Amino acid sequence: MERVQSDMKFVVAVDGSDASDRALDHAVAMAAAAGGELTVVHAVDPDVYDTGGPDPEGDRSEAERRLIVEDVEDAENRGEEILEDAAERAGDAGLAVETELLYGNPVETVPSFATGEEYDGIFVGHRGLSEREERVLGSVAKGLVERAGVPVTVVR
Amino acid sequence: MYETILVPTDGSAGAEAALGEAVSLAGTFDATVHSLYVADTSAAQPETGYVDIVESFERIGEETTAEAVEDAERAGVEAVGAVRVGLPHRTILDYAEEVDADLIVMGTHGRTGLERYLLGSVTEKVVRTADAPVLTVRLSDEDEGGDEAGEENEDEATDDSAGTAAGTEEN
Repeated sequence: MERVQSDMKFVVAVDGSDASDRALDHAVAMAAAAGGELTVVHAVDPDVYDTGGPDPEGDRSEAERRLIVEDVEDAENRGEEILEDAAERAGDAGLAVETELLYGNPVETVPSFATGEEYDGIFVGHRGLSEREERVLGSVAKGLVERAGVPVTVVR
Repeated sequence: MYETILVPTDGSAGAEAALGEAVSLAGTFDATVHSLYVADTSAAQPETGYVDIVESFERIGEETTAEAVEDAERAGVEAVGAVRVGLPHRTILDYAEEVDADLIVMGTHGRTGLERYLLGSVTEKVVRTADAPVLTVRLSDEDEGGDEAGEENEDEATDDSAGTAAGTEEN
């Protein structure tokens, strides 16, 4: 009984880690087997580079501001590289993928991207942190599971 | 892609949504669905009639998994029901290994409040510790307004902060 769907669209969130590579491989296999499309996304979070605390500070020096901007640009460049590597990896496995650089906390931007563009599911890697480590570091996978309105597959 | 898909069930609306997703995937990939009910031993204390409680959980489990198998077969998908006794997340992981599941599908209440914590804790543990990929399905808002979660309760749990949710359950 072959009932392969051809109109499925999936998102895989990557960060260049080994866990994210495994999620990518899984998503590529899934999309290929289902005859669906796959978009690889990476989120650049500008807030991470804002060292001024939760509120914007008016008295930040020009040099400090430049430093923050450069960090964001670095992150963008790194993000583009991660996406290129992922697209190449997917291509090697026989699947042409789209890529998309997102801006903001991945836990928020990835689900809103997936919902807004009517994707059928999100794939994400998980490093296998202990409960304690996860409480301290947080986990994108856990955040996506809690927030995303579309099904999320967490790959170890 | 997937040959063996495990769907733990507790009879909740979340588990029902997970079953729907699992059956759809199993149909696509010609996989077998395993519906597993865990009779939760942590909920049964020796002094409250341990054996009786576990036995009644097991009966509920037989019924719940039989219904799941029926649902799957009606969709043309091969299915197996199983009832095990133990701690839910540990038992789910053991069973996944036993049948060599290549996907575990579970429901989650991705909302704020006490209910999410209670219903999602097993899913959360499985997500964190399973070797197999875990597919989580969130209930849509309409589903949550259904028979499992009254809409009034749902609204209260959403409006109240976590700190007061426990105290306002029976306002």
